[in-house]
Amino acid sequence: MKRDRLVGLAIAMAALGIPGVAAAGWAPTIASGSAGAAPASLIGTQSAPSTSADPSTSLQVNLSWSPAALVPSGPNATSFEVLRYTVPTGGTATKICGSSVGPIAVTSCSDTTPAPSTYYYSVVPHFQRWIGTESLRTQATSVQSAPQLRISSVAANGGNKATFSGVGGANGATITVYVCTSSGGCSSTSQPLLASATTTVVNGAWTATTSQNVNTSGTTYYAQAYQTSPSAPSATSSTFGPFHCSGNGSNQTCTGP
Amino acid sequence: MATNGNSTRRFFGRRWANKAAVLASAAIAVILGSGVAYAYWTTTGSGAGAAAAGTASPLTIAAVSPAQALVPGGTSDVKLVITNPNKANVQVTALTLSNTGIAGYTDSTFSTSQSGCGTTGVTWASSGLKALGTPIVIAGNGGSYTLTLTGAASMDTTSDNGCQGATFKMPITGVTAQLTGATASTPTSGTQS
Repeated sequence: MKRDRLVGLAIAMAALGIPGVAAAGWAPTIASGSAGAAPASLIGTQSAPSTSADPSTSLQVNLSWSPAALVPSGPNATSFEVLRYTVPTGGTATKICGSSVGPIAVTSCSDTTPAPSTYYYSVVPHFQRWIGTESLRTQATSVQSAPQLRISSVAANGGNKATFSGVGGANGATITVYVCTSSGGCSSTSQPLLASATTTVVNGAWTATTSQNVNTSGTTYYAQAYQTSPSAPSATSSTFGPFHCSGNGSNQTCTGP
Repeated sequence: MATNGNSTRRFFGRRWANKAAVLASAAIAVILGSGVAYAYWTTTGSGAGAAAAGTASPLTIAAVSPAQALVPGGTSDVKLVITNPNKANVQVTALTLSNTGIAGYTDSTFSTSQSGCGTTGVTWASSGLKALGTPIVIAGNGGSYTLTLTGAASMDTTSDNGCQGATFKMPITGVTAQLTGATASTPTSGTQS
């Protein structure tokens, strides 16, 4: 009889889900508004860019920076706006290095367009549509005018071509000398354009030898030099000449103004 | 005969009483068992509908910020604490994860909306019924379990700039659970993918 009672009681306990009985009980739900949490990162502090060591010798300012990291954990910012100011605080920013519509996906660039002045640079980090806080600005960076571009002399190179010597232009800039017969000056569109020579400025000076022969006896030549890269700001010499070149090979001579 | 007759009545009387007790217990079990079965099979529902299945108190879920954080184009963990106010232990086998109502807040209590975060870009990496790989048993009388769902939240690249640093509310609209006599899970926290 006791066994019968125990069986019945066990069945009832099981059905009621009383602890100690491995059976399903009432099913709890959850409170409305229940939720878990997932925090978002944010773009951390962006350091100011560093500028080229000696910008005073060039019209170009080289900038580089380390990308800000997303915190508390995450990748680095992937694109950047680079801003230029003429004052250390406040003022109006000019966006440089890249298009005006979007940031650039690199961590260095060159500002090739500043007029001689003192500038301050900063960087704004981006990650997808997220925009970080603008970095502090750099210390004052001076940009000075490049020395006046000037053709100093012309000489025969002993191979029927003319070699020009000159000064000025930005260090590293490309200089192109055009040779024509016009006392008013020469350019890439001069008619006739007799010859041209291309070279690079090193320590403020340069020499350039024409690709074409410049040795026609009786011809009165003129020349003019241009800084062709970077093209801004422009640098152009005054017209050099008149000068004359004649003779062949080792007998070639050039006499300048 | 009289003695035999009394003995017979006493005998049949005790047997009837015992039988009656057994039958009564069984009947109660059948009646309540049907309720239990109803409750068990309707637990995946959410809100009031599921509450009608029985008298168990709802589990509460509190949000906790995990160590990881979302970035556009990435995933992160979702962390929550489930508390069981019932006297009995509760076994949880699944959660229902909803993408409706995901929003950014300035804090993990979801009291202040994050401004500028209209497009969160955030969803559950896999919404709907999320079966737990290992069911968890939460102790009764206020016991709790801290559950971390790894890689459960996803953020796409449309996330607004204003969403930086926000805490996103990741709605959980249902739970598959039942009262149980099983021993509570230890430790009282765990990670599941």
